[in-house]
Parts: sequence; C-alpha cells; structure tokens
Amino acid sequence: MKVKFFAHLQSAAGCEELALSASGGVTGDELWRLLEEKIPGFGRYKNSTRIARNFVYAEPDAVFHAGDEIALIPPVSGG
Amino acid sequence: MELEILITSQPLVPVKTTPEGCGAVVEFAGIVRGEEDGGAISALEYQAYQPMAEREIERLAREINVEHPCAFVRVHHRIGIVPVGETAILLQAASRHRGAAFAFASAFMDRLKQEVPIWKTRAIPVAK
Repeated sequence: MKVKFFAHLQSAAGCEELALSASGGVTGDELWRLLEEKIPGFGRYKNSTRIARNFVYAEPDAVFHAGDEIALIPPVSGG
Repeated sequence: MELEILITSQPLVPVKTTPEGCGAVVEFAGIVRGEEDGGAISALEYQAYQPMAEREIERLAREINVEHPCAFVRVHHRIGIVPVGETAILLQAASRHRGAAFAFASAFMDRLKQEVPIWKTRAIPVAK
C-alpha cells in the first residue's frame, strides 16, 4: 500500500510517500508500528494524526489492504 | 444545491453570483494577514491533499445544506504561496433568504478548518 504524508509529517518522514507491504491487511495500530520501524520516532505523531483511506477518513477499526492509498492527516489549517 | 469547488495555485478572482430565485448571497473571503505568531510575514504557503480536500468540501457542503439550504455554493481555495493581502479562500453561499446563507457560511468555515485536508505549511517572513 502507498502511504502519503503532508505538512510537517513530510519533513518528519523525509519523503512525500512510501510503500508498505500489507499482506492480509493491517489495522491502524499495525500501520503505525510499520511506520515506526521504517521511520524511528515517527510514532510520536500518532495521537495527533488521522488516517484516510482512498480519500475518506478511516474508522478506528479500519483494516488497510494492499492497493489502498493511505494518507496521514495531521491537524488541518486551511482557510 | 449547485456546488462549485476549485483548488488552485492561481490567484482567486471575485465572481459575481446571482442565482435565480435567491434573495441573498453571502460571501466570505479569507485574506492572508501581514503577521503570523507575532512576526511580520510576506506570504503563507498552503498545501492540499487535493482529491480528498475536494471530496471533503463536497461532503461538508451537502451535510450543512440539509440544515441551512442554499441553492448555490462556491468554494475556491488557493494553494501554494499566497502573498499578504491576497485571498486564500473564497466562499459564496446563495439562498432564498439571508438566514440560511449566513448560517451556511459560518458553519462551513468552522468545519473546513477542522476537517478539510489543507494546511498552512509555511509562513514566509518579510525580507530584511
């Protein structure tokens, strides 16, 4: 699956997006664990970040699959 | 409700709106101020997750329209570098009577600032 980063999460991740393998699907907690493995320290953003799947905010119990476009949405500030 | 959504890096241009049957058009323009966190700035930089931002704007507009029905809504948001004094967001809401349009505009802006994936990513200081 593709994971996209925005705003300050881009500089924290050091990239705009990365690919994660998700055979069988992963929960939100598992997604954050995978991200922490790839980007040590990234988990500090978990509590302030929402997860979107395929352009829609995901429910807390969502399971993400290969082929999904995941976006990590930090607090927004448009307008 | 007719809905027009635009997210663009180009300057926003005022558009006259006179939908048929509407007696009220409420317009809100969000303008970049010359200071941010107490310091003088020359511009703000905005970023959007564009496909999702467009969907969220539509979702919010349709939800708010149930309670505050408008015949026409226009939402234009600028991204990229927006200089001080220029418009970052333009909202127009048109309804039969003023109450719905005022209420729509207020509710929409409150929710946009909480839910639509658009960010101010950088305040560019005034060059010294």
